[in-house]
Amino acid sequence: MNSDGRHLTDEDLMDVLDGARGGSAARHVGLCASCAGRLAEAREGLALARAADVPEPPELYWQSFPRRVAARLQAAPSPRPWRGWLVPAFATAVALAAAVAIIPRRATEAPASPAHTLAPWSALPPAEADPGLPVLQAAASDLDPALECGGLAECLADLSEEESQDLVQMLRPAVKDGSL
Amino acid sequence: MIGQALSPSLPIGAALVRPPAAGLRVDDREAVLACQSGEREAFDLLVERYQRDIYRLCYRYVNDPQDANDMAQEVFLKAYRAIHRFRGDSSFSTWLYRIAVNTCLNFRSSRRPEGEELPDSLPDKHAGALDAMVEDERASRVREAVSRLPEKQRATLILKIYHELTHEEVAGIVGSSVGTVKANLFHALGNLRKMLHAEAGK
Repeated sequence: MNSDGRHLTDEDLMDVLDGARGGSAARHVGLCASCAGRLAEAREGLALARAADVPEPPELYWQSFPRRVAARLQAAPSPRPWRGWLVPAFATAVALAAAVAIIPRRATEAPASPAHTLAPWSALPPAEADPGLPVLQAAASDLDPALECGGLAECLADLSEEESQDLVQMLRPAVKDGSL
Repeated sequence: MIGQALSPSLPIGAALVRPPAAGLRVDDREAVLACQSGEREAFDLLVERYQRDIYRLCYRYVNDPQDANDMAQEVFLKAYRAIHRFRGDSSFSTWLYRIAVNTCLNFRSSRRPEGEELPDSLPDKHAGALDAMVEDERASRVREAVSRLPEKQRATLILKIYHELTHEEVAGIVGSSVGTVKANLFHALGNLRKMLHAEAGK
């Protein structure tokens, strides 16, 4: 046991084995049969592990290995360049899509004041008649040719992990302030 | 770090240190940037530089030369396909090791039947019977035992003992804290010893 009545942790013992820790930990091992035993077992395991190297392939193998990888790479498509420009494009497109979908809904969900209650047939103009819609559609369609992946859904599905993370970072403030 | 001499402060694995490659070396970052700009030949340089490390890592995972060859090639294919996403947040070698460990884990899980891997802890039996092993046979059995360790313990032991990475580098590759890496390594060494003792006593 050490001064506070506890055995060393596995992490502590690994540090002792690694030579990264001496002092009180090393003294504890000298006094504690349990910790000394565990340390001795790990030390023996380390000696065993070191005794087994991987059989080395012939030099010819290493000379031909890059060629074999290159041959497989030639059959594979080239890596795509980083498409960082897609992130603001996606963010804009998503924001526009959300605006088209959410703004009319919020308008319909707004608490009705008796003084401003409209007849159901006149609550909102149909979407096709909304003068703002062509503007949004035009803005969104302007993005599509740049996406080069067949549409917003396909592009989103094709995003890499890092691109997705960037997109989330950009959209997070808008989600927090309720604009999305 | 792969391909670099072991720091004197890292006694574990010191017996397996390999000297750094002689002569001028194009920096990994330059080679990566060239790959990212479409120069596929630059990737050959990275393959040549890391092929031995990756092959050995794969070999220790599966203990089979043909599987190790297939897996090592797969690691480089995956790295090439993803290299445009490498931003240099970690060293290229650490990034490549991460791909290799994931490839090994997936390969193993799809090829090995469930239940073959050992539990995290083993009862200690037949201590003292190790002397009966012949040296060459023992090396083979050690490799086999390493390949049967629980995944995190195996990854940690291979990267730390045989590839001489720091605890911090191993933590970055396997996605654990440094403390967990140390604890996993400690358990791996203990389990390895127990497995070999049990094997020797059969």
